[in-house]
Amino acid sequence: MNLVFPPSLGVITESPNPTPQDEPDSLESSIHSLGPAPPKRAESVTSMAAETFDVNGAYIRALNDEQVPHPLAAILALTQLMEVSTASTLTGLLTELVSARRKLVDTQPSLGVRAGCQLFERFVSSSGAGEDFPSHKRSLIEQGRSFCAVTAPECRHKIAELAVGFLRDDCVILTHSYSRTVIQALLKAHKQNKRIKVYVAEARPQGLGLKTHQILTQAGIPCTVILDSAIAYILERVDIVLVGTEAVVESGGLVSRIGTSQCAHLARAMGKPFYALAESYKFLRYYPLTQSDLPMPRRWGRRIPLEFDELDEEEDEEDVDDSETAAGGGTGRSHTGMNTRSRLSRSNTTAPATPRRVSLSDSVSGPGGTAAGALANTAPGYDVRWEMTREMEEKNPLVDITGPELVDLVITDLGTISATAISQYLVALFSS
Amino acid sequence: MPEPITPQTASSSTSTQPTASSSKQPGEKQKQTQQAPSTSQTSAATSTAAQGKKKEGKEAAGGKSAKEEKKAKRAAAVAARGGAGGPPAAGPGAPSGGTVGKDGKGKESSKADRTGQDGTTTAAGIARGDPAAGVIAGTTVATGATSIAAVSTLLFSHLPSSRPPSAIPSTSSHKHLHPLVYRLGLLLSTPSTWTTSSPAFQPQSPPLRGTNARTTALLLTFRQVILDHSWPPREMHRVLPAHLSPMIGFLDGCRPKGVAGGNVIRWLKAEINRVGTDESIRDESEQKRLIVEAIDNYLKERIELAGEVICSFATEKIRDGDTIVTYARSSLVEQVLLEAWKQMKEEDEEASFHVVVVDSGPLLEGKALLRTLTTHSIPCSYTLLSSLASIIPRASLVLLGTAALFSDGSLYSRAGTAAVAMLAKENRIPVVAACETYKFGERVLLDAVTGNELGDASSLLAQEEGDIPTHLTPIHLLYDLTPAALITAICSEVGFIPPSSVPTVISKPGEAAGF
Repeated sequence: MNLVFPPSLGVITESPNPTPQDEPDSLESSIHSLGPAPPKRAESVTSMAAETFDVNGAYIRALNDEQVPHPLAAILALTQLMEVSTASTLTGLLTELVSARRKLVDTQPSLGVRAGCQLFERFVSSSGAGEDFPSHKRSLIEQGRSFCAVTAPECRHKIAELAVGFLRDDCVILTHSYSRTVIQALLKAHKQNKRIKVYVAEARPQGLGLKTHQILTQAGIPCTVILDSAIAYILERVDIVLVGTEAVVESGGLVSRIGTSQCAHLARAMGKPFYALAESYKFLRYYPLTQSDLPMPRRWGRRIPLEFDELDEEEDEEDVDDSETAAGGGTGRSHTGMNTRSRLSRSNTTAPATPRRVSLSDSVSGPGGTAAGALANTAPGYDVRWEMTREMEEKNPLVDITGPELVDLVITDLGTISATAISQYLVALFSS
Repeated sequence: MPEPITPQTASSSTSTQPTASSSKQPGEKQKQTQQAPSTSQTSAATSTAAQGKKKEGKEAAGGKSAKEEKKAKRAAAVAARGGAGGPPAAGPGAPSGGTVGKDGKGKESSKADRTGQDGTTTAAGIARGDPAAGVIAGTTVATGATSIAAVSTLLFSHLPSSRPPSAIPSTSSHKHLHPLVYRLGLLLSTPSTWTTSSPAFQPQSPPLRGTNARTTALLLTFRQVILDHSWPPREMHRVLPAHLSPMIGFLDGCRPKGVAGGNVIRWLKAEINRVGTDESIRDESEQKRLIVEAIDNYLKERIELAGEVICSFATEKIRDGDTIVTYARSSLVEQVLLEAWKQMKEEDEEASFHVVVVDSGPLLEGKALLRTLTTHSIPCSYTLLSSLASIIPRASLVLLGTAALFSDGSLYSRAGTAAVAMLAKENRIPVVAACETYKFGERVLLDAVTGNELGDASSLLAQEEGDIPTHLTPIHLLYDLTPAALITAICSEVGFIPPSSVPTVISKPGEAAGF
């Protein structure tokens, strides 16, 4: 047994063991694909302990660690599930994993979760059981843990090593939002005494670009936050665009924080190199055809972001548990009932010298009439700021897809590859 | 140079007289004589191509004789259509008025010196190398129109077309032809016009069209052929391929087998070899059982189940309110649309999508798809390729069928597909090609001119009564090639993949398909 996750996943020994699969699920079918669908497993195979295990809770707990990205958090959650599981066969274990995966995927919007689950299930199902099951299970758990604790940080380290090679001394970098991998690469370059300067886009609505700014400034790297709308303005002064990703899909496209796609389009228009950093555990066997063609938690239905409301539409009020706000990507669905009339809120505060995310609860949502009046009082000037209401923001998507044709290179722990090579890797890995 | 070719020079100078005299005659008659040389030029060109092919085709296994015969036969057919042109054999004696290059410089020669040293030398030079080429040199007054016709015939004369079994000259190897093979040949070569223009000759079964149908029929036929044959058990891997080879050649003569057919036959031969060389199996009935089982599995796994898996993937991309554009008829696309409709109605009775069936003549295969879709009450539109440009901006997905997929990711499909894909790409509509992996070909095709099939060209001008004038060459190509850049994704049984991943799938045959 020398099973390792990627980068050496390619050497995993094959087992003809088909993964149990109850119903064709959007992703699942593409993961295990092929062959006649195995018959439904009897429910009794699943152990009680696993049924009651709160996989979402485990996932959220794992995410609390600053260094743990979504795929790893999902893998950690599944590893914990295996620990409490009382399943006595590999098939039983896989059934539990599939049901836990479904629970996660149905609630967590991050595509990283899907990538992590895919990888882990693939790993477990292809591991084969040569030895007795309990020890096999123990070794699986151990490998799951060591993957998260050792292999994954190594991935990021390798990527940083590779990415630093692309950063010249005195170069200006544009990045978007917050990515641990990008930051690690930048810090590494800084440590090598390369004089880099960084522009970081704010990445509304979450404003994670400010987090990047904070970390880089603390490390002594000259860093300036720019508006998302200022990317086109600043690109002429930029040498290279580096972004992180949430998942890399099979087309070679990147699923990453909203705004990355337009950043890539602009970079292409301006002739600036656009590189993405992605750990191989973020590769996702999914092929989106359009921006809105992303898998979403099932309970959101097939609603796509930014659809126009129908006037007589009834909004079902639905409280969203904390897990959703903790999770990164996906699209927000209004949970407070949406006014069909758009509301405008404004705050009279001038733009703060140090960028600060304006708390949404501070913003006064005035009825239409007074908003116009206030504007009349203070105009002309820049001290009036119109802001979107929370409902407006939540109609927006949190991630977008950057087409493979816009990405010059993807720097991964497998090496620096072109976007189209992602699919070749995934096909080789999953279709065998 | 002139000495050894004296007879040639003499013959050409004597034979200039008809042309010379005809030029003095009134216009009507002159036209006729002009046509005659042009036809002979055509036939000569064809036979040149045929002979060139003959040399290359010598080593080709199976249908070698069929190929040669086909070329010769077609050349003769072209010549016969010209009527006055006469058979290519008349070449050296044909009228010669001077130099006529293969590159269509015919017009210059009209005033060229009839007995000019240059002209005759060239003509003779060509004639010496290839008797048929003398006809080319013999063409004198080619008008603009005829030279175009000649060029287009030249351009596509290398392409095979389907022909009924009766048109395939029987050779000694054909005497063991299984009746089912003959029947398949008949079904494969049924021209599209049988069903429309001449109802009197309608065959019992509709023509076999579509790669899946043809491949399935091919395998089922050979399954029976193998069952009906017998061999000494130790000799299976030698006897059986030799037995099948002429039949493969025969079928290839009726209709080229294409990439998928080639893949299947290669697989079948490998399978025969595998079973035949297996030392542990030395019983004929056991060998038959294994082969038949393998064929059944292949049909089930690579075609039937693959189709179902593709359906399950593709239906995910069809959502409520979508407009799906498809071209002509693909059995797989039809299956996908029906399945998507069924699933959507199960989930939500209100949900619906719209299908735009784009079609083009002369085959108008989209009508068959339209019939199926409408019987399932799926909202449809039907239009011809010519009006697609105005419709495509409203589409949300273009779903295409496949005849073959080459290793550079380019799609070989019904002629017109490339135009649809191009329009879709221009409008940023995702283009998905549905394709089973058994249609993946290892070759690379650079364009659809080098490899294609000729359809029944007469149906193109079916409405115009009367004979097609000889200077008019209707061309009906059955397929075209869509470059990989125009295809967003390929939906195969390994899932959605970009065209660039086709070689990855090909490189792991069998495994890649998950079997």
